[in-house]
Amino acid sequence: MKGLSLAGLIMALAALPASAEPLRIATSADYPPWESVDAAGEMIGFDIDVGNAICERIEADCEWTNQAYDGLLPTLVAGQYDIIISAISITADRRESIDFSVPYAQAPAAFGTIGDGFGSPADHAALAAALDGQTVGVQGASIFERLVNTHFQNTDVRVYQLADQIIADLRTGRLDAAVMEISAWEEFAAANEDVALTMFGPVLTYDAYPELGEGIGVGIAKGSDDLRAQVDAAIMALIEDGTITRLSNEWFGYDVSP
Amino acid sequence: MPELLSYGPDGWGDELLSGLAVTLLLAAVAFGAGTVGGLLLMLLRRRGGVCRSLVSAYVTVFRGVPELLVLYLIFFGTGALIQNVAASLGYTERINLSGFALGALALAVIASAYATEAFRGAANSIPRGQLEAADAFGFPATRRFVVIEFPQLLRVALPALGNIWLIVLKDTALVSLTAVAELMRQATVAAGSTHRPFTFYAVAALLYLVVSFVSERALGRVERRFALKDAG
Repeated sequence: MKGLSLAGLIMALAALPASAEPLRIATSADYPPWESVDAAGEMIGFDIDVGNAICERIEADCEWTNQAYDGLLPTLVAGQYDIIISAISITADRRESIDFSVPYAQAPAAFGTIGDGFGSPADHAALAAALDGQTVGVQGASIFERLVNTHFQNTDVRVYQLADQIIADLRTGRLDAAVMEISAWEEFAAANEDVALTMFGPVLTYDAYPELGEGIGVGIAKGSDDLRAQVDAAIMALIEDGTITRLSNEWFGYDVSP
Repeated sequence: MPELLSYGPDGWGDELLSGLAVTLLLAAVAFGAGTVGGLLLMLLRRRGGVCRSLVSAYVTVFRGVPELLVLYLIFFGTGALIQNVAASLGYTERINLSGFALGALALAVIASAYATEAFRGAANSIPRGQLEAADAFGFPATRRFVVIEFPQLLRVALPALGNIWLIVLKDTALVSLTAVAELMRQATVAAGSTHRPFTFYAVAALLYLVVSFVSERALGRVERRFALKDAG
């Protein structure tokens, strides 16, 4: 996508019939380090590398599309893409409309705030007590709204479209706290060095908070059992041979492999 | 910040400009199709009876339902619909629908609803006597419309069409929810990728404003050009 990509424009104009049947992958490239776009316009990130590694394993040509997060599931269901890879948590809710691969990563979450006003609550009870009556931000169409509504009922939940907006409202004081993936907190802490973004309370994982889902998986349209089996086998092999761990260390600085 | 917006592999200037190009193209296609569609719908409405009711219903629905909902229905619904119809006809090959085409279709549907009303209002402003005179001279209906009605219609409808252009231009931002890399989506991606939301949204706002400003000026010129010199 260098410059004014005329070829891209012309391609976009026509509903093209498929010929070589590449594997169509959609991602919402606005969530670093999972997936983002660099200044040259190329999609980069952990998910992009994992997706390309999967394609290599199953010997398919990848065709990536950058699609806004809210539209990922509906467009997969509508058959516009074959798979979606976008740091998507595997949840029972989503299983009703799409299928998932085996998890290729774990993404624990945590509450965070600016400063240290919440102290360091050691367990769930202390965390719930600390959050009592507070305003908490979550990203919309994500799993965290349900998590907060289920386990931290005495909070005022505000739903945002983008994680950036949550950080902006933490900065203005409209939010007392927020809950996000730890990788996102780390990313934002590095990008907002002028304020002390800190995580507090225990790390939230699937065992205690099933709303978080069983891990991060590849979304696949229902009824594509052959493709799912291929993707599953590819992911197992990539975990086995250490590729996922290597990519994870590269992008996160630690291991997110399941 | 200057390097953030530079043109080339190190900055986002080229991505934002390509987003602007997609936005303009999307708006132009939707506005063009919407205007032609509106004119045809207005003519269809004149036939009375069922046609009149159908066009009225169309206008009421697409002016009354939020633009975002229309986009959702067309973008997410049409794909599934076409896939299902194709499957029931035994065609199981995959069908790739272009997000651009669906986005433009949704915006054109909305624009045509507004344009129908603009043309209807304009048509009502033409004195009946002119049309009766044309009939008296034996003009066929098509010639009567092309030679007498249409030029006056267009002139009267120009300001309303200008408003529709500005509405369509701004509504293109809704298409950012799809995979079309127009200006708003490019700004969102750049904001998310760099954690500089204000920088990129401010630049996007500025670009929209520049286009709106230039459009308004151009429209003003066109309106003056077609104004009646000997009016009053």
